[in-house]
Amino acid sequence: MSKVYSTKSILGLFSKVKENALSLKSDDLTILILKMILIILLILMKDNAVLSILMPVIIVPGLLFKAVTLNKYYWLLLSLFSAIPYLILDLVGYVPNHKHIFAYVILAVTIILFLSKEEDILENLRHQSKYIIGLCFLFAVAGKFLAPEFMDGRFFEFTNTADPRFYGFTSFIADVDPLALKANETNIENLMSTTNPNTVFTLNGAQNLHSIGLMISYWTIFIEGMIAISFCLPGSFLLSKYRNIFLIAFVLTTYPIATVYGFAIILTTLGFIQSTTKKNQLTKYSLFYLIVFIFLPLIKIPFIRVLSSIF
Amino acid sequence: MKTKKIVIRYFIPLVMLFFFVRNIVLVETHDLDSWMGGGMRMFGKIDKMLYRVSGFNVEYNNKGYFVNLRNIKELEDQYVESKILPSESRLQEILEEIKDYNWCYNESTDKITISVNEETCNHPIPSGNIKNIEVYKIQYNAESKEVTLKLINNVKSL
Repeated sequence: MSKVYSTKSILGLFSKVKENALSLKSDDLTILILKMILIILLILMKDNAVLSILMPVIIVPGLLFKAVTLNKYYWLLLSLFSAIPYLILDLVGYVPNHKHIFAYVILAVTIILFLSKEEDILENLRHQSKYIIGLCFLFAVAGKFLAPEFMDGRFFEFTNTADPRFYGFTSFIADVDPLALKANETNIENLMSTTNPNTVFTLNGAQNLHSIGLMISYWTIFIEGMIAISFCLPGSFLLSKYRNIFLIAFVLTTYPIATVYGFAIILTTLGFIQSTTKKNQLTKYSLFYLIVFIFLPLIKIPFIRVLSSIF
Repeated sequence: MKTKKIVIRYFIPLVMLFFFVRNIVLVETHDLDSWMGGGMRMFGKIDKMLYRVSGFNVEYNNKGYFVNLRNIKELEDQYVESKILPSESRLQEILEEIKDYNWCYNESTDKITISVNEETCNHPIPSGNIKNIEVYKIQYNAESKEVTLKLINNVKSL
């Protein structure tokens, strides 16, 4: 159905190579996938002093040596280091949901390396990636139905005017003065440090956001619902064939606005894994995910603010 | 062979389901922040730990003082813990830990702070003056556009 691209190495993806030289060996694709996961851990697994010091020491050998990358005991060690802070002590310290996904992915790799036949490793990784994405969105949609303020648009009315990550978008789309939004940030900061719990303040700009808040809520429910259904359904269902389109639409409409780097990069990696074919070829979707994986740090640039200051 | 396939296929989905169900139960029964605990319920509720306020009340010289834990560096871990899951038992535990510190009334700022050493404190606060610990969540009124705090849990000193 989709045009299939393949390559010999990451660099080869971006150069014109003879068609028959483009097929990836299963080992090469497995290593590429495992290295992508290791890169994420190297960048983001530094939640406390112990992890910041130890994780680079553990992860770098996996990035450098093939034998380490594919070693099941190496992944068992990573499982321990991720499961303890992210799954066992997750109600004691601040553990955002994407850190749980890190732990699920590492556990999945470990189980697959221990229990799979060598020729089934990639297929099992694809399966697990598909279901982790599907369940993650299924739970996210269920959570939104359990939140009345999400369904009536209040959530985005509040979040777009209270969370600084959305200020560029809010000032652009709802014509709210950035200084008024900055005042909201200061008021919330003061409220969090208050010594008087009866403090009250008015949220600037919220009056411009009611219909926009509702529209964003409905779009979010729709796109997350479609991802949940299309990723959880077996591949034989028609809707399942469009799953990458839904996921890409989500990535394109969400992350330029809500710059949640940790969630975006693990989602992109899982998207990449499940988008590869049984013949170990990369599809056009795989290329999209790979490009996003590489350029994702750029979402931290406040594009809307930069553009509004230029024009 | 079949068992291995079942483990590979269903172990992670079952773990994910466990964390989702645990999240719903703890949110309903122990005021867990719905964004936490691996329930994948982010970007749903306005109430989240980052917008929660946690502190304790002290009585001194016939006046009440609310000490916001965010302003006490020494209690950073307790501050985070109390906002993630403000259950009775956790708050009781944290309150006892708070009482173990030496608290002091600072006349120039009219605030209660931790005294590094007892000799530098002119107005020490007996632990009996620490009355209770409270955790609040943020509340947004869409009609008035006002943001206020609402009490989630309050545990009195034993």
